[in-house]
Amino acid sequence: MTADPTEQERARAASVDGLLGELARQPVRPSRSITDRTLRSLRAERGLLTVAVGAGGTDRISEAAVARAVAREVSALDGVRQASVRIAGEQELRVVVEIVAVLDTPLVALADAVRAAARQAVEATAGRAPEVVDVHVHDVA
Amino acid sequence: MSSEAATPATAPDERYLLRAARRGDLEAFGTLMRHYETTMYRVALRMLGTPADAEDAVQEAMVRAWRSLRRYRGDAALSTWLYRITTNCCLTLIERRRPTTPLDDEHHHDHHPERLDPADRLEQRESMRQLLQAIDGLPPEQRAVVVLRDLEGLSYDEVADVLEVSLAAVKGRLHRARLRLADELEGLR
Repeated sequence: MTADPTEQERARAASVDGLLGELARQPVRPSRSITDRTLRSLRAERGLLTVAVGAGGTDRISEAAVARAVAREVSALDGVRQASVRIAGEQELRVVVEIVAVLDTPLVALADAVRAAARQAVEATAGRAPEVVDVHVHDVA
Repeated sequence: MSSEAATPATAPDERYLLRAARRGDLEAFGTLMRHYETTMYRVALRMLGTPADAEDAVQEAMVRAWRSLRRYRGDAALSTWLYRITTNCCLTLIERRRPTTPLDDEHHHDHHPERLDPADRLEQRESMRQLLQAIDGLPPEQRAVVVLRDLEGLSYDEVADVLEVSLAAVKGRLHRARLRLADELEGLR
């Protein structure tokens, strides 16, 4: 902040008020709907995770690719017989892991291990941690 | 100074639409954005100078708004939050590619052309062109203050809130910007 303006400076600064006021009153409208354009682009992005927006460009990785990587990691855990994974959530990265567990496996501990493995796999593939990992144990066999 | 086209009226059912949009309802988000689109575009156009850049900035601002909707807690008015996102998008764009083309005439209608004779209209158009050129020459931070305060009619407090700077900084930037505009316009005459 500079020192207090002098009267002369104030008057000079105020001299543009009229023109600025005139400009402010001029009607301005976009020639086409930017909202529609944006919604189209957001809809098209569904199914894609935006993982990095940088000066060099934007990286997008398909949800299918991430889900497959997570399923492979989870399936390799002791106590997991089958696993399927989907990515959900519009504005948050939510991973839903559904498993069939090996009979007699402690299920709460298994769910914790699945969650940790899923989180790690998402971070490794998408470079971004999921906000939520839901684990559903559907059956034991 | 206040402009007639200042802060937009509150959208009908804004709270309801916001809640729905936060849950991922893209149509609700679209309804909100349609209400604020012209305001966001006006800010972007005055900041960037060309309709194409302004449209890009507004689209980017809308995408950012959608992605960060969950973080919007309602502490500031939705309009203030959108002003902030739009202004930030413009500042980012200015950093990336400085506009060199002034606004085309299509977007510079006379406010009361019917009351002006052709000579006055020509003179007014020329004055506006010079003013826009002078605004375009301001440092981006000063330009943002002029656009928000003098063209959008926001209060000093609102401008400080949008730009996340102190009130003193807003007043200082505005004063320096107006002096610079006065100098530029005087130099053109």
